[in-house]
Amino acid sequence: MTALTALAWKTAPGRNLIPGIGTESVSSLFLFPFAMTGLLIDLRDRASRRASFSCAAACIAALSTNLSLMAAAGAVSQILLFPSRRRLSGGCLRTLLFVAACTPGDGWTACVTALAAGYTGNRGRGALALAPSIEMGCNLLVLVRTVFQSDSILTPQMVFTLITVGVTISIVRAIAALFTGRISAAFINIFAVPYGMAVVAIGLFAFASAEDSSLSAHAAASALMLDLICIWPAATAFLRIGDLIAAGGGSDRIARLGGLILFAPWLAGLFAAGACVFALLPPGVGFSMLWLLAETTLGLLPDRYASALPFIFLLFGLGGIVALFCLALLRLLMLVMCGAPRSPRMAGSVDIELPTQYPVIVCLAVSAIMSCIPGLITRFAPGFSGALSGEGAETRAIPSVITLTGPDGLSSWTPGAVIIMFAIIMAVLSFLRRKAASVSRSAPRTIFPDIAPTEETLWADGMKIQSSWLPFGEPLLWPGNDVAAAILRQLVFISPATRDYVRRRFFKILLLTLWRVKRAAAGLHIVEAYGLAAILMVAALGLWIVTIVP
Amino acid sequence: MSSSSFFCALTLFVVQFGAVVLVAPLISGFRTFMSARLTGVAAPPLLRRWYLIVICCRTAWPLRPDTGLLTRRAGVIASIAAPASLAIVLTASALVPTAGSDLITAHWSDFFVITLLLLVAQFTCRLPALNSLAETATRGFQQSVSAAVIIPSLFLMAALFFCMSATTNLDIVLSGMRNGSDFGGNAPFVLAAGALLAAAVLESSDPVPEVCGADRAMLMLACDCIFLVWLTLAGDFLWPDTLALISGHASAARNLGAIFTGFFFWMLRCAILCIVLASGSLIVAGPAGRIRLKAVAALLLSLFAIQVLFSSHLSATAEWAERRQQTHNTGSDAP
Repeated sequence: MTALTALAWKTAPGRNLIPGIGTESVSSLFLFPFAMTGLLIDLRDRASRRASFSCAAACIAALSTNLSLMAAAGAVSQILLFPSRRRLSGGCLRTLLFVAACTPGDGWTACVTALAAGYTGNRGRGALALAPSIEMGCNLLVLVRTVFQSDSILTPQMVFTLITVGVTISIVRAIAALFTGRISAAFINIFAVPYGMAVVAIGLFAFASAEDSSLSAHAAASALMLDLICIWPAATAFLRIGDLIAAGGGSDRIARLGGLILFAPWLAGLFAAGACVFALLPPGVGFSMLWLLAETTLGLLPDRYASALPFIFLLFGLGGIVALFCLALLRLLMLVMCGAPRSPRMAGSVDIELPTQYPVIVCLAVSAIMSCIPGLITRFAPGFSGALSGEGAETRAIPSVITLTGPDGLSSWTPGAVIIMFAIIMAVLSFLRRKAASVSRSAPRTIFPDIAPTEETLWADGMKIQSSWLPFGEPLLWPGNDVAAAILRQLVFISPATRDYVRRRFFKILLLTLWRVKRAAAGLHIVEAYGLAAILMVAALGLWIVTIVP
Repeated sequence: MSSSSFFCALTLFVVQFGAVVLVAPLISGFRTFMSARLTGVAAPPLLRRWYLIVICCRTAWPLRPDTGLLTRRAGVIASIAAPASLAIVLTASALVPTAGSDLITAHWSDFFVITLLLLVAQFTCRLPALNSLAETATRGFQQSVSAAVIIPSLFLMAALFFCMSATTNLDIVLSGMRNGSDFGGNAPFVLAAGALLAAAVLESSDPVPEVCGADRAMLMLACDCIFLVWLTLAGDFLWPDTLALISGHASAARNLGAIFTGFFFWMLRCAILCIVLASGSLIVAGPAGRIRLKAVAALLLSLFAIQVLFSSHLSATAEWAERRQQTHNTGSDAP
C-alpha cells in the first residue's frame, strides 16, 4: 500500500515541493520495480510489514535527488530486511558498500557494490523471499546514478570490470540454478540473471558514451529501461511464485516437490506464464532486452580482429547466458511442474486463493502487455541519457511504438507481429486439432491387454501403479534433481571410463604398430631381393633413354 | 512495391507456408532413407513419415475409464505443447526466405528471432518427454541440452552478419551476398552454414509413447518442420543465388516462374544437405559424445568463419587503401 501511495504521489501536482525529492532523474525509474515489489507483499505478519516499509524506503531512495537522503533511505530499506543473526555479515557488508558507493567519488566503489549485490542469497520465507529484489534494486540504483548522472567519467578499466562482472554474475547464477537442490535458491539464482544483464547494459552504455556513439548508448539505455520496467516486475512475481510453491509443497527441497500441475493448476499456470514472459527467448520481453544488448554489442564491434575480440567474447558470453538460463528454467519446469509428487506433503498442497493470485497476475500482465510495445518504453530513453544523445535526437526519426530498432537502423524486432502470427497459426491448429479429435474413431490398440494396473495411491488423485515385481524394489521412477547437473558434467568432463578406454586403445595401437614395424623389418629380405632387380631395371631403362634421346 | 510484385510476394508467402508443411515429412523421410542406406540396413519408404502422421491423426485418445493419471497428465501437457511447438516453428518458417527473398515478412526476419524461435520450438517439443518417467525425461533433457549448446555459436554467427552487412536482418544479408561482396566472397558463410547444419542434427524425432492422437501427429510434424527450417537456413547461406528475386519491372508470369524455379532449387538443396547429414550418421558416438561433437563443431566453425572474415576484411581494406593511395598519387602527379 505504501508503494502504491508513492506511485500515486508521483503524479501528484505538488511532487516537487519536498526538498531533496524529485522525479526528473533516471533513478526515479526504479520507483516502478520497487512499487511492484510492494504490491506483491502480502501483509500478514511482522516480517511482511517490515518488507513493505523497506519497499517504501527504497521508493524514497529512488526518488531522492540528494545523495545523503538516498544513502539513508537505501540503508534503512536494506537493514529492515536483515533476516537473523546467522547471515547478518553478508547483508551488513553489502549495506556498508552501498553507503560507501553513495558518497561522491570514483566509480570503483559502485562497481564493487554491484559485484557484491550479485551474490545476494536467500533471506527467508514469505515477504522476505522478495528481499533480493529490493536489495539488488538499491545497489543497481547507486550504479545507475554513478554512471548516468555524476560528473565522474568511468575509465575503460571500470567499464571492462562492469561488463565482466555482469556476464560473470549471470553465468555463475545460472549454473548455480542448474545445480542447486533447493527451490528458493533456484528461484533467486534465476532472478539474479536479469540483474547481471542490467549491469552489462550499464557497462555498454558507459562504453558507448565514452566512444561518443549516441545511437549505441541510446540502445543500451533502452535495454536497461526494458530490464527495469518490464523484466524486473515479472522476475519479482516469479520469486513470489517460487515462495508460494515452497509454501504449498511444505519443503524447500526440489527432490520432495513435483507434479504441481496436478494439485495446484492455477499456481502451475502462473509458473508457466511467468517462465514464458521471463525467458530470454522470443517473443517474451526478456528477448527484447537481449536483442537490444546484442545489437548494441554488434554496433560497437570494431574493424580490427584484435580489438573486436572482447566483443566477440561478450557475444559468446551472452549466448552462454541464454543457453544456461533456458536450461535452468526447463529443469525447474521438469522437476516442479511435471512428473509426479515425490512426497505426500506435496500431494496435499492446495491451490492458491484469488487474493494471492491478483498481484502476481497484475505483474505478469503488465510485463506481457509492455513486451508487445517495447518501443513505447525505449522512446523515453533519450530523455534519460540526456546530453549524450542530444545531437542525434533531432536528426533521428521518432521510433515506432511497436518496433525496436537496432543502433544501425537496419535491424528491427517487432514482438507484436510475431505474437500475432503465432496466435493466428495457433488458433488454426487448435481448430484443426479439435476437428481431428471429433473425426477420429479408432482407439489405439492395447498391446498387453492382460496387464492391468493393480494398486491405487489415494494421495496421488487415485494414480494407479503396477505392483512391483522386481526382486530388489522399484528403480528410480522420476528424474532426480541432479539430472541436469549429471548431463552437463558428462558433457564437460570426460568420464574415467572413457579415459581408461582411450588410454588402453592408445597402448594397443602403439603395440600393434611396433609389431607391424617388426614384421615389416623381418620381411625386408624379400624387398631386398626383388628391390635390387627393380632398381637395376630402372637404372638400365634410364641408361637406355639417355643413350636414345640425344 | 507495385501491385504485381505484391501479388507475387503474397503468392510466395502462401506457397512457402504450404510447401514447408507438405515437404517437411518427405525430407525427414528422405534423410532416414539415406542414413539407413548408408549404414546398410533396410530403408523405409519415403512416404512412411506422412503415413505415420496421418495414422496418428486418425487415432483417438484412449477413452477408457481406467486411464491412468500419467496418461491423462501427459495428455494435458502434450495438448498444449504440441500445437504451440508447431505454431512456433511455422511462425519461424514464415520468416525464413525459402525460395524467394522478398517475402512480406522480410522486415521481421531477424536472424536472432528465427534461430531462437526454432530453439523455443525444440524445447516445447520436448516438454511431453520431460513429463514422463526418469529414463524418457533424462533423454528429453539431454536433447534439450543438445539443442541449447548451439546458442553461443548463433551469437558468433550474428557477429559475422553484422560485419558483412551491418545488420542482422536475414533478407538484407542474403541480398547483399547475392550481389557479391568485397570481403572474401562468401567463404565465411559456408562455414556458418556448416555450423547451422550441426544445429540441424536432431537426435530423435519420435515423441514419447504416452502421447497419441492428433497431438502425436503434431509433434512429429513439428520435429520435421524444425529440421527442414534449419536445413533451409543453412542452404540459404550456402547457395544464396538460388533464391528467386521478385522485381517490380518484370511481368507477373516471369516472377511466378522465378518463384517455382526457386522452389525446385530449394528442394534440391535440402536433398543434397540431407545426404550430407545422413553420412554424418556413420560416425559412431554415444549421446554425450554426439552433443560434445556438435557443440565443438559449431563453435569451431563459427570462430573460424569470423577469423576468415576478419582476415579477408583486413586484406580488402588494405587493397582499398592501396588503390586509394595510387589514385591519389596519379591525381597529384597529373596537374
